[in-house]
Amino acid sequence: MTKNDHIQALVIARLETMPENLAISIGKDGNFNKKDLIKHVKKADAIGKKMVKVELNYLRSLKTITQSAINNA
Amino acid sequence: MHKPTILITTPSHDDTTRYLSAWAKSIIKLAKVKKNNVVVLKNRQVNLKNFTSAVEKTQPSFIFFNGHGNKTTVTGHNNEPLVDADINVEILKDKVVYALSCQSAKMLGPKSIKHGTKTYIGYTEDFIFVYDTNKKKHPEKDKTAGYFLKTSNQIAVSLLEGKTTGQAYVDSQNAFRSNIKQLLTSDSQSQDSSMVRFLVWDQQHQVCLGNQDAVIQ
Repeated sequence: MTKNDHIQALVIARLETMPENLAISIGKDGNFNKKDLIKHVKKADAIGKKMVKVELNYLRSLKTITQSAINNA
Repeated sequence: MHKPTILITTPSHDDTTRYLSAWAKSIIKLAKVKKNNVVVLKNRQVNLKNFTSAVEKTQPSFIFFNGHGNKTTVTGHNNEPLVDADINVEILKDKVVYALSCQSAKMLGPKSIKHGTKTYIGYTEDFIFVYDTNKKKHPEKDKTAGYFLKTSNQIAVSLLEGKTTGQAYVDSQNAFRSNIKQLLTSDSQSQDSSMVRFLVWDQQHQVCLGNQDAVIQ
């Protein structure tokens, strides 16, 4: 498994936790439910890549977010 | 006493714009309560001709865009461009602008500042929000979307309360942080925490360009 495959699997696993009734608005790209998003991530198209970017951004920010939450507790 | 004029665009041609417009209603109400002159372009009215005419006639001190956008443009009904960095950016001169749209703070925002816009608040990447499909008929009652839209609209609330653009930005950033913390640390359900990554995204890509001390007047 390549690094990209691992990341893709991680993003899909995260998206799996989203409830069925939620949808995501991504501007002019449209609105997507969980199944749509997972398909896009598997295809690694523009929407899928955007989801990967959002997830990686979140993971990179976790340390700062957690620290901020602790400081303001 | 001089009353500032506020111009608000609320296109409503797809799910995203319907949500933005529904959540903008409380801002319109607040602007009226605060005795501002409020000009609202809604639905099909949100086109280039009407927008240009409204700006020229009323000279708003604050323009609040709700709609789609990209790096160089903010749009209205059916995605008709209202402001384009390469065509009519000077229409924003001397204004305070808040664009609740995707990406426009990447190029249009900085270019507008160079052309005399006081302050441009917007997003350098896509503004993403999560909503509950069971609430699509009543977007304003969708608490899931509220995590994003009430928070982003804090910019307009703070400006209407007389705060500076810099403080309005800080208030919205703090509202994002508060929601993120709440979702990460409370007894919130796992479904709620799946939203956090998108709140973090929006928070990190919200920017305040230009004069940080400008107020609506």
